[in-house]
Amino acid sequence: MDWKKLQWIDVRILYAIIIVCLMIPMFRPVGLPVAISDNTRTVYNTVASVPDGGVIWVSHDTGPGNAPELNPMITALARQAFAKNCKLISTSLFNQTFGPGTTFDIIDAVAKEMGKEYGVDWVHLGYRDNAWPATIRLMIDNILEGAINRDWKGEPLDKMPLMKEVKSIKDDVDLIFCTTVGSPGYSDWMTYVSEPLHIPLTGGASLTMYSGVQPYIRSGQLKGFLGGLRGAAEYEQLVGVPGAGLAGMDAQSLGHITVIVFLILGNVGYFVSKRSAKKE
Amino acid sequence: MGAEQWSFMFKTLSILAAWSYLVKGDNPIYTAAEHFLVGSATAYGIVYTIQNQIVPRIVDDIIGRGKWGYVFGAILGLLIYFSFVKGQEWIARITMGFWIGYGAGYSLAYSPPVFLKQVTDTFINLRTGDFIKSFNNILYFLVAVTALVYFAFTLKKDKGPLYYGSRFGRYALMVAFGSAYGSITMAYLSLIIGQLEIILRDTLHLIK
Repeated sequence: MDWKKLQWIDVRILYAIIIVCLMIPMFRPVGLPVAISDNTRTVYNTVASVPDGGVIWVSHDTGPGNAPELNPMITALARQAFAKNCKLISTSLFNQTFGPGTTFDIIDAVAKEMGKEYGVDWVHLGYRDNAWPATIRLMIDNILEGAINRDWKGEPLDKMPLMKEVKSIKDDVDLIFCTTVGSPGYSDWMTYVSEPLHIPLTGGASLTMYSGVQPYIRSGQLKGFLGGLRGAAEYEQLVGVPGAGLAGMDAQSLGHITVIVFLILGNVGYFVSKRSAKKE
Repeated sequence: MGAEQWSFMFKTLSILAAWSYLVKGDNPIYTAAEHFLVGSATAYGIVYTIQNQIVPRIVDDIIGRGKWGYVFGAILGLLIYFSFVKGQEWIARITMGFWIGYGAGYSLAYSPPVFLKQVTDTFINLRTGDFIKSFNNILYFLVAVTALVYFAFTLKKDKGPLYYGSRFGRYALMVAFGSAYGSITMAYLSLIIGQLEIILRDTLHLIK
């Protein structure tokens, strides 16, 4: 057998195999168990520790690329928060075109299901301009000022009952929950808001960033953090309502196995062809 | 077919157009999808910024509440357009200077507490009484110190503790990079799963 061929398989064949392997569990779900990690438990407990009726600031800082990992986290958070009658104020600061609409749709779907009303139980501020620290700096002292008295759809905030109770981040927000794929993301929220104001910060990150958040979880600057689709699936289990996170885990597990098999085959091909070259 | 279904159809076509890059490299279908994305995102951004940022700031804040202080900020910002005026480009540097100065100052004012907490987090108990915890703490401490040694390029590290420390730090960094690479692979699979769900579930209704 020509082992060298293992190293030079047409990449398009690999793409096709990976896609087929991801599709199989979608048609025939296996329901593989997902163990819940300490990090996810910490996130759940941090949200649970917010007093009933408290205010959670949700910043869904994602773009379209990472949405499949991070959207289920926001759905699960909204369920847990609304079940405690917590109020949500949401922003989406990473991507101007995709983030605000997606965040609104996700929270709106859960809110309608749980009988929560826009303006009373939650408000969506959407995207704010790129002078990020300045905007948030204004909102720390006066949300209406920083948000220019407009919600995502351009409606005046001062007419909304929730915004009559929640005036500033520093005095009225009990927890910040942010998702992260880049900047603005957890590091900005930590640097400019949670650390100076001593407001607990938790949330979730795309797995591309998850190894980077570990030191902050260890130091307690982040109160746990969800990692990618796996973290979302674990959180859904704790909240008790399976969703897109758990649904995707079978496919992801089979995908991992496929990638590992490719890695092994590539390395076997490399070492065997190296040995046969030496013999020759 | 309702508006939502049309939207899913369009999403699916866009995904397939983007995926065509994997098969044929840069091709007209991929390029068309790319241009459509850039064009629509720019148009959306302009409308959104005017509607939700500029108009409310002028109408509500400056005219409505008399916050004329914002006018000075606006003038300072508008000076950036002097970069298009031949011979007067230097005026645009005033705005740039303000942005850079403000950004650097703001970052310097807020970053040290976050960074210092990371430093103090390495001051940990190495003998906790619990074997596993002590082992983890010792490893954490060793990796933190040796990774710093690896990056201390001005030190001569050809023999002795610095040599071995630097090598250990290098291996520790390799483990960290390997872990990050594994995470990235997992993340990309999640993205494909999300797109497959749009195609198979939302558009074609083949899965639940």
